[in-house]
Amino acid sequence: MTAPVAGQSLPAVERTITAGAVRRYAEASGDHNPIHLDPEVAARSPFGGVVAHGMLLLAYVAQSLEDAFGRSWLERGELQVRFRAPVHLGERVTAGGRVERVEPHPDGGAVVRCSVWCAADGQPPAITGEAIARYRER
Amino acid sequence: MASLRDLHVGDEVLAESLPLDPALVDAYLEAVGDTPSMEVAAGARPVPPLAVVALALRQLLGRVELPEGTVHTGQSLRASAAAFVGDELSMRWTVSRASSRADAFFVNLDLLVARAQEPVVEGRVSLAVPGAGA
Repeated sequence: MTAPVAGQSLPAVERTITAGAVRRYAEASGDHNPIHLDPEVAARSPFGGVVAHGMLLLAYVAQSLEDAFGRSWLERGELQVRFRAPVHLGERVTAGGRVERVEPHPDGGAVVRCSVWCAADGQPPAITGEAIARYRER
Repeated sequence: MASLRDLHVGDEVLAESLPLDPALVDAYLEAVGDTPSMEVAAGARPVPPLAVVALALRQLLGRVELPEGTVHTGQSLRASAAAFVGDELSMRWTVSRASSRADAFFVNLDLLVARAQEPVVEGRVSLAVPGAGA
């Protein structure tokens, strides 16, 4: 990433939520809640059908931050989000963010404050929140 | 297995090692479609901080029963150092909120992942159990 400036967009991460993707995440995370895996149970839930794990969607947000800030995200990243709406199978989501503020850091480089989100096409955001990353000139 | 509803503020839910097993890390990265390519330390594969939280949650889910309908309402994390595939870290989960309102029971679980007493990742998981309020 070039030196960040307020208003700059973070790299977008786009994914389609498939039953396979959700099943693989359930296996990897150990979260086998039936609202993610069982169409009959999920249909009776308030969500009305199978929904993606919030943490799967959040992983797409984290990838956007990883793409933007690289190593410094892995070493010093901060993230705080709310899960606001479900995302159903078949929906296409975009995760990303925007640089809101860039402040000098006393040790050099900058502290970059970003708004972040993940939303299905045409839907209100499923995730909103804030991320803080360090930026250093390479 | 403890139920989420039995937890109280201050409870230590789980304190044990968190091995970043290559098979578990790879399964996670494949599931989310992530391929961190940056080099952080020579010859070491970094594990993204959210993956660390997810793998810590995986171990927690083996110890705490989530009532049907439990919803993950919020998540935070703060990385203090990079984690690597093969690391043998420690983790500690504690309860920082356990409260009822008329319509739901709310729990915050705080996570500290450390390497030799030095924080690597801290996080908070916020959960709500609809219909389980006072």
